[in-house]
Amino acid sequence: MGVTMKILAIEASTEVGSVVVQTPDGQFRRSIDTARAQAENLLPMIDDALRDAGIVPKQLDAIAFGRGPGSFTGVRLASMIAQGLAAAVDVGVVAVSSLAAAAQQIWAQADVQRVAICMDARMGEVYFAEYSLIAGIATPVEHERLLAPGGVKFPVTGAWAAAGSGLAVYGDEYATAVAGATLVLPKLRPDASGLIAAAQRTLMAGELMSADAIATHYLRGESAWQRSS
Amino acid sequence: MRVLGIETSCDETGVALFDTDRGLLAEALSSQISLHAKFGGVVPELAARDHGAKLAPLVNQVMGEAGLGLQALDGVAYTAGPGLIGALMVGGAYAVSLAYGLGIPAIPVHHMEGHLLAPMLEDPAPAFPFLGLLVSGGHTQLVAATGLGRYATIGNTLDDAAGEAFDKVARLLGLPYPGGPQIAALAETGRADAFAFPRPLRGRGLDFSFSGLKTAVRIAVAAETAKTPRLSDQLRADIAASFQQAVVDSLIEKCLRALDATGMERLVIAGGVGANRLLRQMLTDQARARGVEVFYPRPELCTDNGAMIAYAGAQRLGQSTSLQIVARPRWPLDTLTPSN
Repeated sequence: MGVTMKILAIEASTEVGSVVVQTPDGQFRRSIDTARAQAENLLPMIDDALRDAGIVPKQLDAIAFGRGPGSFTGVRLASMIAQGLAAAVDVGVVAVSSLAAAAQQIWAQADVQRVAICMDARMGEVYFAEYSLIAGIATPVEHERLLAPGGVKFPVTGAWAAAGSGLAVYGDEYATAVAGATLVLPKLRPDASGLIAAAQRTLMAGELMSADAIATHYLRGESAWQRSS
Repeated sequence: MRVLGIETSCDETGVALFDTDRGLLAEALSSQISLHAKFGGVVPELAARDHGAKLAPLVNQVMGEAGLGLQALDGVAYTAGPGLIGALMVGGAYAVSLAYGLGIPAIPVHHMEGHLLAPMLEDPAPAFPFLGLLVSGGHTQLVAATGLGRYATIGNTLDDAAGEAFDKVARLLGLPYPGGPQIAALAETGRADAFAFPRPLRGRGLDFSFSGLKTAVRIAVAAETAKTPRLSDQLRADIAASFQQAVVDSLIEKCLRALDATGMERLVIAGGVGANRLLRQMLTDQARARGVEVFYPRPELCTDNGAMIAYAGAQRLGQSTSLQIVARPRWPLDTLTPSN
């Protein structure tokens, strides 16, 4: 099964929207770096990537998407595209944390023990989670959280990496805390390629979800836009 | 041909399956009224989230009720605007992806064209040309419809939509959102001539205005509250009935003027406020007295629904289609053409 799997992954939780088609022949990727253009471009990008891979949607074994946290609109786009396409071709869906995807990307390029992902959440907050690599999969040490920038606790020992837009937005505040990191990547964004490992494992474990049962992960709740009127 | 219709432009998730030979096969609706009630109006982000959670299960429900698989579809129609951008995006993303996966066209539909054509789901159905009164929480307009995609807006509201005025007055009277059905129910026991509320722009042109009327109601409520802090049920009913009458009178007057101006012999009433019984009854009587045929859909097809989108989409099946998810928050009805 492992070598014949065909997976489509969609990630749009930040201004970078990307899609990856993984087949035994390799990885076929498309991306765009303008949040506003995602609605127009994500499906044509998927179509292009599938064509590059030489397969049609019906041949997919699973569809993975970045379930956030991140841009509400982007996360919903990825989720609804995954749901619609999965229903049409009758395959299961995998919802993967967008922060975990970013962590997974780091392990593709660096050998560290821990990865801290800190993404700007706007409104003076960040999305944060720390990961370790277990059986080849970025696995959260603690649940991902929405925090005030000062509430973030970076690792202090071992070889570790920090990544995400929060490091750029709160660069001064985090300068000391990330000084001990092996790798600091403020420009790293969750990418569809980071969803593949978790999707493969879920597919092989037979734990795909039905397309109408998936949930997005906003972290930020109702209280954020409670109106005063 | 079978077309699935998906509506997510505001606070109702609507899904329906329309067959060009057999008519409406199944429909389902999930209302968000209780979700937004505590905010006194629709919260866009909450609306989008709820559409996202409800849409796929509703599609399954509709296909299940029709006893058909998705493979039986010939097209997927979705509301592409006007509406709340985040909410539109949910239905659009799902619809275009579903259609792409099935290898069938995705059809972006103008929400107001959906409303305008909804009476064609009924028997007898209106034929073009007709005058349409589109009246809802977001729109109050008179449309001269001469064919599919041939619409000229000849009257519009200069400020509030009629449904918006109902919502605001409901709030003044301590009634929950949405205000239309609440005001209508309260007005049942009220006297429509108890308060002399204005009929703005009476005798002038085809445009509407409801902002001054709403202000007049607010002043009346304030004056009565100054006399007795707790308004009696009868007084509240009188205010509701007098307000409703003022709105209905205004709508009817402009409709009749528009019928005279266009010489149209058919009148279509559509949109959420079109479900108002007083409006239907009085407008029907007065239009018929002039020899005008009146058409309106059943109340469920007046408010937002998937059936009207499926129907409008079916009329446009076969037109060019793309993989772009179209979401246009503002989209004037007049810019439509027969081919898009």
